[in-house]
Amino acid sequence: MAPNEILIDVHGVAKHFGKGETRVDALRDVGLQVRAGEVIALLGPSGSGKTTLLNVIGCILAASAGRVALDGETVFDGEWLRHDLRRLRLDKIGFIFQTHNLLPFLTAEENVAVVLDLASWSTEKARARARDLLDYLEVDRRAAAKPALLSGGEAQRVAIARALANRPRIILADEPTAALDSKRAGLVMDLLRKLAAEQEACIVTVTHDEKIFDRFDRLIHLRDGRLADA
Amino acid sequence: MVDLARRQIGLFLGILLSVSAVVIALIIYTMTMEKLKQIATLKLIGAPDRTIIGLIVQQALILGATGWGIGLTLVLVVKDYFPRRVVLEPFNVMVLAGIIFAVCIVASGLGVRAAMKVDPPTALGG
Repeated sequence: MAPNEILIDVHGVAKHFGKGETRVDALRDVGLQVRAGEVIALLGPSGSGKTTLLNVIGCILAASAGRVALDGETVFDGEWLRHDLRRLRLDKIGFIFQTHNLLPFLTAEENVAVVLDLASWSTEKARARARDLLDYLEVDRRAAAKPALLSGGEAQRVAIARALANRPRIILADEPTAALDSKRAGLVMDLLRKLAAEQEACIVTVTHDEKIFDRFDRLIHLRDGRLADA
Repeated sequence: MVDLARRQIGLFLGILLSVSAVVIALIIYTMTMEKLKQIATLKLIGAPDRTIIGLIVQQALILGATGWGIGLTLVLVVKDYFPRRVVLEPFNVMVLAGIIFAVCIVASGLGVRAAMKVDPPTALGG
């Protein structure tokens, strides 16, 4: 595992929606490389293409053109090179959402373990890994609580634990601090930075939250589907 | 006379099962629609379709089994208060359970269809 290994390599990616007069170019010739340990932010006004780029990197939206390589594997080159995209996401990518999106009928521990169940881990190993992660993120005492009983910060930590459960090296976060106050937002970002360093993962965050800008290694600005600067 | 009563009861049973099937289908559909974001989250984190279909069918079967259990209990508790009764043999009860099982499987189709249409990006954003 090289320390500065490129985990996300996006080259010449374009994405348009619609045809003819209704065509909208959401991304135009976007190139981006993110290395292990890096925490970057995608910034830009609404409609600038940052969520589209996050979806393309997250293998939930096919680009119209370009190449995407994740953790050393080219997964898209004009077309999907992998057909089991859900398995690909399960193995390589962790997602953190604006609202924690925990499953309300499961406990915190079960919410983390569910990813490992999907990855065919045994129940005992999945539960043990979930407990370890909750302990690491300092929410282990809330392991038996349902999401409705967790505070915003606790729920987001459980969501982070879920994103890390299957040891992905790419974490994609969509406004992860939007529902938190500035103190908790800072704590969550510090935690993500620590995780990126310790687990040699990279974190790509879409955010509008100016109070956490100083927590990123790079701020990537998008404007009208193009990279404004990096 | 007995034949007429049997046909009337059969007709009632048919109507009740048809109505139950529609009601179960609508309940499963509504419950699925309320959980679209959770289904999108599951798809996004890598859950295969068979897992999601399994959850919906399981929900329909639990609903059907609960209804069957409550119905049977109610029948056993109140039957003695009625002057005229129909003989309900264990075989009939089991056949009814089989029919309810089949109705639940078919009725969950609407919910499954709605769940399969959900795109994973629905999970993103507030």
